Amino acid sequence: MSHLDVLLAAAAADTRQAQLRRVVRQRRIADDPIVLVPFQPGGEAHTLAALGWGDDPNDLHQLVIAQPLNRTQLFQGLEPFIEWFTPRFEAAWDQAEWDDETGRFLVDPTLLPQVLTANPASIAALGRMGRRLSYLPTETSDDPDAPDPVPAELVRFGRSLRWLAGQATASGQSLILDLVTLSQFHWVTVQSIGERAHLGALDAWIDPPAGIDPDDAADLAERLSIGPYAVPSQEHAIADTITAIGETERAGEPTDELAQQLHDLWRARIEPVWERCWRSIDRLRSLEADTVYLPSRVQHDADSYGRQLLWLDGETGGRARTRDTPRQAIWAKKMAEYSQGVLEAQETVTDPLAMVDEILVGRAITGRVVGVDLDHKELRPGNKNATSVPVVTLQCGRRCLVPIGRKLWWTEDCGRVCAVLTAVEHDEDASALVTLKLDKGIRDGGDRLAALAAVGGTACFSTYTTTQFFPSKLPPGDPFTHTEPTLIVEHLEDAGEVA
Amino acid sequence: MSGNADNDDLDVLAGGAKRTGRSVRGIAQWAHNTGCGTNNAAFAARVDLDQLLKGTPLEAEYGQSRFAIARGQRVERIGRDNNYEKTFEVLDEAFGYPDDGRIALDMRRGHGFGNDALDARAEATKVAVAKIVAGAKDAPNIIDGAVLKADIGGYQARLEADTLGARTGPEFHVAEFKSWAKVDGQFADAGKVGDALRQMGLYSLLVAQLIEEVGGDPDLILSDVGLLVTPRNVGLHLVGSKLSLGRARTVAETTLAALPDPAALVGHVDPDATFGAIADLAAADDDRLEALERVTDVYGIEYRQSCLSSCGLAHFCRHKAREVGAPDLCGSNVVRMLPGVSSLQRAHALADGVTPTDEERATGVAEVLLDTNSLYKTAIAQHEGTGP
Repeated sequence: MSHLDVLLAAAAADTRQAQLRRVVRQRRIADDPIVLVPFQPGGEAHTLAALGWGDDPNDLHQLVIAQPLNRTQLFQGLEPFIEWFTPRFEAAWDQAEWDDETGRFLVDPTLLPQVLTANPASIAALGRMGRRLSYLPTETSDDPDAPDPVPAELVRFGRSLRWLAGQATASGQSLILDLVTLSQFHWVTVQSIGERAHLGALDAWIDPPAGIDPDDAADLAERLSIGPYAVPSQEHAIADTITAIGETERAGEPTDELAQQLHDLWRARIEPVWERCWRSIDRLRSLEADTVYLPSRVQHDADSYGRQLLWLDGETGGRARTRDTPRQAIWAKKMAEYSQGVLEAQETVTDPLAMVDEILVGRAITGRVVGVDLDHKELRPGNKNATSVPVVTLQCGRRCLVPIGRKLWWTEDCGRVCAVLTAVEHDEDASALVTLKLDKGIRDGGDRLAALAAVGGTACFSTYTTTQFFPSKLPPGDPFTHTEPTLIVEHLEDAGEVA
Repeated sequence: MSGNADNDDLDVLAGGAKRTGRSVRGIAQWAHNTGCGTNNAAFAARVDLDQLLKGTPLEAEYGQSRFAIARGQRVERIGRDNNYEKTFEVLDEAFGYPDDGRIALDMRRGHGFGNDALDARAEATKVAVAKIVAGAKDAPNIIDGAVLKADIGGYQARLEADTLGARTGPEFHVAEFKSWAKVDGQFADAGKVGDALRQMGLYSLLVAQLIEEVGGDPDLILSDVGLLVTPRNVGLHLVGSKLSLGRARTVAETTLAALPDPAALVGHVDPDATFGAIADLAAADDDRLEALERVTDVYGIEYRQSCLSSCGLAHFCRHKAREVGAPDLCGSNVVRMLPGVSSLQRAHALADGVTPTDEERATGVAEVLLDTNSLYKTAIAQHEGTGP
C-alpha cells in the first residue's frame, strides 16, 4: 500500500470511478488466450467437478464429471478437454525450428499459448490436477498398489498442466495468468483485499453497468461463485443432483436427464465467470503494452516453453521430481529473487505512474534537463589521467529528497546509464536544481541527455536498475543438512480405491 | 466465574434470536474482531450472528460445503471402523501404542442428543480420564468424542474433541481428524493447519484441567505433542502428523482469558435494542434493520476487512462504513495511512487542496496527499502528452 494507492482510493470513493494506478500493461495478452474456469466439489482439492474452457468469448465449451470422486469417471471425463487443449498448447512447439547457431529449437513467441483463469486459486487447482495426473502409470504393473494404467495422453496433459501452474510463480511470465491479479495491478477501487480478490466484485467496481453505483454492482457480483469452489448455498442443488445420479446408476436406470440437469447447473456457475474473464481481458487489452522490456520477457517465456516441450518429447516424457532437492530449491529461490528484482525495476521505470511513489519517498527525481557538460573531466580515484565525467543538471519542480552521493539510474536506460547525485540547490519556491555526474553509460547516455537538454526535455533518475547481481554459484558439495527428500511419492492414488 | 452466566438481562438482549452454545468455531469468529462492541455483546449473549439477518438483503453467506461435510464424515468413520483400527495405527506409529489390550471408548453412541446427553458424556469422559490417571486395568486407550466442560465467556460450555488417546504409562495425546489431505508429505494450506492447531491447543488445555481435576499432574502425563490425522494424497488412507501444542495451549489460555465477560452487560441492557427484533422473520426487512441500527448505536461497531469472512453482520456494517466513506473500507493499511482523516472523501478533498484541520496538518497527512496528487496529475498529463 503506497501513498498513491491511498490517494487513488480516496479519489475512487469521491468520484465513484475506479482509478488507474498503472497505465502500462506489463504482461502479454494473446490474441486467442485459452480461458479456463475450473470448479471442484468443496473439500476435494484434487479432482474436478466441472470445467469451462475456450479461446473465443462466444464459444464456451464445458465438461462435467458426474461423480468427481470416481477416478475412472474423472480421467475419462477429461478426454474432450485434453483433445482440445493439447494441440493448442503444443502448436507453437510443432512449428519450432532448429537453430544451428544456438544449438536449440527456437519457438516463435507470437505463437506461444497462454492460459488465463479468474483467480490464483483456479491456477492452483489446475496445478493439483496436473500433479495428480503426472505420475499415473501408462502400463500395467506388477505392483498391487498401483492404479490401473491410463492413456499416455492423460499423463502428458498432466505434466503440461503441472508445469504451467508452476510457471505462475515465475516473475514477469505471461504463459499462465490470473485475471484478478492483473486487474488489481492496474486499478484502485474502494474495496478491501478480500473483496478485490473476487473477480466478479472487482470487475463490477471497475466497470459497473450504466447508472449503477459501483458498490451496488459489486455487492451483486460478489454473490457469484468465481471458483474453483462454489459457495455452499449454490452447491446444494448440484450435490442433490450428483447424489441422485449415483442412486439412479446403482438402480441401473438411465441418468441422461439428470446428467443434463447437472450440466445446466454447472453452466449457470461457469457462464458468469466466463463472461467476467473476457470482460477483464478486453479491458486489459485496451491498456498500452510495455514495448521496452515486455518483448524480452515473452522471449524468455518462449525459451522456457521450448525447454519444457523438448523435455516432454524426450526419453523421460517430461517426468520431473515431485519435490525439488534442497540444492534445486536454493537455486530456484536465488533465481526468483534475482528475476523479481529485475522485473520490479522494469515495471517501475516503464510506467510514469509507478514513479510517483518513488519520487515521494526519495527513490527518484524527475526534472527538465537544463544543462549537460560533456567536456567535464575528473581524476577518478586510482587513475593517473582525468577522464570524462559528463555533468547533467536537472531543474526539478519540487524538493529533492534523494541524499547526496546516491547512485541513480536513468529510467530511459536503467541497465546502462548511471549517475551519482552530487549537489542540490533548493529554491524558495521548493523547486531544486540538481547536479548529477554520469558514472556509467557515459558516452551514449551523455549524448542522449545533451540532446534532451537542447529541446528542454525531462529526464527521470531512480534507484531502479535492471543490472542486478546474478546469483553466485552454489558450492560443489552440499552441507550435511541438505539431504535428498526421503519421501518419494509418485502417483497419488490409493490402491483399489475409487476416490 | 463458573456456572452459567445467562441471566434475565442477557435473555432480554438475545430476545428471540437463535442462540448457540460455545464452540471452538464461535470463539474463532469472535476473536476476529475483539474491538467491536456489537460482536462482544452478541458473544456474551450467545447470539448466532450468522443467521441474524437471514431473509434480509444484507444476509451473509454462511455454512459449509456439503461435499466437504461428507468428506469429513467419511474420514471420521474410517477412524472408527473395525474398533478404531486406523486410529490405533496412527497413534501407534506416532507414539507407540502396544497391540495388546487396546480399549476404545465410543462416546458418540448411546448417549443421545442435547445438552443432557453432552453432560452425561462429559461425566463419562471425566470417569474415563480418572481411570487412565489411576492406571485402572479397564481404562480406555482411546476416548472417541470426549466431551470437555469449560467455563467459556461466562457460560458452561461442552466441547467435543475428536479423539483423546492414552497409552499405558499413562500418557495422554490429543488427536484431531481433518479431511483435507497431506500431499507429497506437505499440507497445502498453512491456514487450515493453523486453525487445527489452535483447536487442538484448546482441547489440550481443557484436558490438562480435567486431569488436574481428577488428581493427575498434566505436566507429567499430558503430551505436548498432538496428532493431526488427515488423508494422504487423493485417497482416504489416513496418516498422522505430529504437532507441538505447547504454544497453541498458551494461545488458548490467553484467548479464554480475554473473552467478553457477560457480567459486564448486566444492568446495562437497553430493552429497546435487542437482537430478537433483528432476528424476527415475521417483521419487515426495514424494521429488522432499524432494530439492528438501535443495537449497533448502543454497543458500537468496528468494521474491518476480516468481518466479511467472519461475521453475519458484515454487509450491514460495510453499508454503514460506505455511508460515511470510512477508510476501513479499503483495509487497515489505508486507515493507518490516513491518521485523523474522517473519510475517504475528505482525503480526496485534502488532496485537492482544501484547508486542513489542525490535526490533519499535525500528522502531515494533508501535505502528503496534496503532494501525491500534484505528482499524479503531472505524471498523467505527461503520459497523455498534455503535460510539461
